[in-house]
Amino acid sequence: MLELADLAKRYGEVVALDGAGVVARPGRIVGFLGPNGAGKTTAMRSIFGLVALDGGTVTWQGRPIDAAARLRFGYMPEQRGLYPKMRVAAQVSWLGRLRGMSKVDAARSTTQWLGQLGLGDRANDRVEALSHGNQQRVQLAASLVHEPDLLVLDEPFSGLDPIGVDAMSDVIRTRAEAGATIVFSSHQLDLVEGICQDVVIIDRGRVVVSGTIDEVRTGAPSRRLDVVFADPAVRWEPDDARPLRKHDGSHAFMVPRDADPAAYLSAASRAGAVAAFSFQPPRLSEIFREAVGR
Amino acid sequence: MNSIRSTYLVAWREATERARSRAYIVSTVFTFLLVGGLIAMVAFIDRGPSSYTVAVAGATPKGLAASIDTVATASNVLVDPLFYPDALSARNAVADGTVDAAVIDDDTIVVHDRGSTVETILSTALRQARLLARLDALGVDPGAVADPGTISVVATAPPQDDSGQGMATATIVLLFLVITTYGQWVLLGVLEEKSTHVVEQVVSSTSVRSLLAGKVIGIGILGLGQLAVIIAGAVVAGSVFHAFDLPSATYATAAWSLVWFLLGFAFYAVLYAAAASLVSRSEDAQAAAMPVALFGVASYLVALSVVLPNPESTASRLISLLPPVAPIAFPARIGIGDAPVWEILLGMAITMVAIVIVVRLAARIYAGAILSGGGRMKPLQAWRASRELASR
Repeated sequence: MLELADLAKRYGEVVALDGAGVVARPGRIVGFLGPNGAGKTTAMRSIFGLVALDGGTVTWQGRPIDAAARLRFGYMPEQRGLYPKMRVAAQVSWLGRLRGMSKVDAARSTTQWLGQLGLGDRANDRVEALSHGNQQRVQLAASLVHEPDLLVLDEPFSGLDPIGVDAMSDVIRTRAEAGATIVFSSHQLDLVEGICQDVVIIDRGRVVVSGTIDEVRTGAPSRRLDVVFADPAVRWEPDDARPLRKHDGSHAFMVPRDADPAAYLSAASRAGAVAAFSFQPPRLSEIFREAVGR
Repeated sequence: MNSIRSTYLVAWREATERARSRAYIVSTVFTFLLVGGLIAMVAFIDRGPSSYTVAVAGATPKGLAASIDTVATASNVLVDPLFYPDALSARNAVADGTVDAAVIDDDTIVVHDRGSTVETILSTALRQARLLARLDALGVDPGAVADPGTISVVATAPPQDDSGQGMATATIVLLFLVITTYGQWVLLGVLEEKSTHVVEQVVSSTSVRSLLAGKVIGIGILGLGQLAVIIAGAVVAGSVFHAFDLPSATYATAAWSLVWFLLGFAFYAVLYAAAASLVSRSEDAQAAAMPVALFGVASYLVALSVVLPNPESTASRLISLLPPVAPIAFPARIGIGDAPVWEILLGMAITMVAIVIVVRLAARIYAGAILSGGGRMKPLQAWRASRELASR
């Protein structure tokens, strides 16, 4: 189990972390979410000792993290980086050896991961010759080559196309099913809500919301109401709702959690013919906005 | 134990990746050819005395052959006389290039072009032969005139071994070049890791100290290898082409050069690494490394202009003990053959102490700066930042 607690870090006048914490358990995928500059990267770097915290504790299996423990961690830093002139397979297997693998094991695992990520035929190309997306895959292979117990991915989905997002999600799920502990960060809250099982949303260095994805969504104080009218000209707004947007007859509102959906449907039907209707827990971005009041 | 393994892996990566790079292969082959070529060229140009063939025909003075030999020896050339039956054939031999010049009777010298060395030699020799012939005719013994007795030559400067000086100069230039070149490789290597952010990935599974040590060791091995190849090339080429008589201190100088390269490289490379860790962009790297580079150039100039001309002066002996100068000054002094063993050992001890200090200083700056983002950092900021990252 990975436990970050009461993290504090200032860079001069800028507060990066102000009491935030994350707990991640084996076999679970934790989404560490929040806007840009919320402190996600600083918290993740603290797991690898890449930042000197002003306060807080970082533990793995209940003990402070040392160099030996880190060898069983995989890390994909926010600022991706590989040796540009080094060949893909040589680079991945070297990083595997750096984390304690034998030469043979590292080579075998490298071949397997490059094949799985669709880079089998690029193994002997220089990294700089690869496209951005392929370099990102090499980066992922580099963090997975030693089959780590803890996988820390900083913004793994940024810069990926929809197919890349699916491939990345598959890899993450497979590793979690194999028993690894996984923490990944993202500022695209709605993109990843289908991927993470646990959620920690932070803002300005503090935790705003946390829990399992179901707890967070069903426990939210509001519900999202979507109504689409057949006639785009129809104007309708219930009394207790906060409008989110209105576009071509499609209306979205935030309404209280305990409101009756049937009452909204009948009220909407009186205003015009309803083409579509939904009443469901809010999306993560809406939960975040409600929580921080922005 | 683990830090030794990761240091080894970092060094292994540096050495194998760079040894395969075009830059290393090209520079090794190029330097090897350059050194070998220079030595071959020296051997070719300085092929001992040049030689001439001279036709002799008609009634030449009696002592001509002996005179030509004396004058030629004095001018450091070889002149080979060939006797021709008549003036015409001798003249034709000059015209078609079979011989370089001809002496006909006692009053004619035939040359291809006016103003050549052989013309001067022959006219001096002919004049001397005629003089002796006339003295003979006057009844004076030409032998007594030609040999006026021995002359003793006294030199005011102490005897000097020129080849030792030449080798010392070459050693200073070579060591300075190799140390600086490979120091720059460390500079660029550290910069590459920081500017591409690969350092985060690497340091997440090892320590910054292992990364620094491995990089310096790996690149140092390449530099040592290249230096060994160059020295071997020079020694082999020198003996094959007989370009120079190898000074007695050659092998000692060669071996000591490798040792002093390691010391000098360790001293400068960690400083280059610390300088590079302070910046993130290549535009800033040379500026950050300027103090280190200046130190190197100043030491080089001092070694060339102070130590080399007067290796035995007190100033030279003191200066060559200074750690930045010692690695290039001592091999030169060993080459000249004037460095006592106790001085060499003292110089090494002082340099090693300095290396320990510099490594601690530079490693700390490096540790504090290499993981920082953003622009250029000051050494003092890095020093403070490293205190917080002491666990790495």
